[in-house]
Amino acid sequence: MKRIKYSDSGQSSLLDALIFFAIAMIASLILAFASTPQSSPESEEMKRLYGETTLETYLHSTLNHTSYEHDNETIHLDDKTVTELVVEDLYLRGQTPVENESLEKGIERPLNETLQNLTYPQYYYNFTAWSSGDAYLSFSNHGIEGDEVISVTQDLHTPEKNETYTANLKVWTI
Amino acid sequence: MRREIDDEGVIGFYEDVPALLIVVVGTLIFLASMYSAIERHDESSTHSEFEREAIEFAEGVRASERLLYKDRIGQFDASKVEGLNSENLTRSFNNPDFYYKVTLTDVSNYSVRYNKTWRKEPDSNFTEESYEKGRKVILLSVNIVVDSDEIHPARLRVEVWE
Repeated sequence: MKRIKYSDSGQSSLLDALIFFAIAMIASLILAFASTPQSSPESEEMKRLYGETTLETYLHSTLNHTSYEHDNETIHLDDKTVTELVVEDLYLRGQTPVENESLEKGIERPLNETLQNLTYPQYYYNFTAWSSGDAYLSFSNHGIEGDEVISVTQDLHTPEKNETYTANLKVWTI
Repeated sequence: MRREIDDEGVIGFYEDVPALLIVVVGTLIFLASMYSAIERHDESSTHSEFEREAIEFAEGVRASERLLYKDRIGQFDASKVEGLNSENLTRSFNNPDFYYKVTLTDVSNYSVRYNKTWRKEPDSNFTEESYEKGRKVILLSVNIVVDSDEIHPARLRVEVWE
């Protein structure tokens, strides 16, 4: 059998070909990963649009009946908008001795149910509202926020109240 | 065939032909990968374009004069919701070159609810495969105004496909 020798002064064409092949493979891999579609901005836009329209719709909606107890008397609030009810709730929490439990049962539970009905099954939400006087309310249908949360904030216009009120809705999918 | 290897380099059939094959295979793989990347890029562009068109259509429905209460975007007049049929909605968008299904679901706690579906139906050439391929779903929310004291929350689901 003849022995093959490789000298230092020459270079095998096979080695050149292998180097070329390796570079071609690396370039192919880069192309394959570089062109993998990521989350497109349009999809982000769809989520943002959903968050904005949902908060706007929710705040304008009316509830046919809500109520709360005060001094052994039931106060009925019929056909009030969500905005009016949120402001009323925050006002009662911050400025009056009305028990929070009565507000949670009579106003905040129907508010949460309405938002739950409005939300599509694939979305989760966290609604919060607060006043400049430190009153605060919050409800959610899922405790843990996802990675891509859309957050929308809106001021609640209430000319008859001295304080300012703000609502925030966060929506996300898991 | 005799193979010659000397101090000046390497030549011969058994060296060059495998090298050539490796170069050809490497080039073919790279070209295939590039072609595939271009295809995906084109498909992604078309996809985004149609998604934009779908969003514009959904926003158009939400702001349609044929449905709005006192020209307030996102607030549908309950009587207009009941009166508008699919043909009129299609005509108001100048007969778009895609199919759609718009579903309005009243989620209020009032006893009377206003649910409605408008659609432009696909023809017989439309297959199940093309239905899945070009389908876009836009989820929005709107109000249905019965009167100034009764405003229902509603889901607006706009499904569009090429």
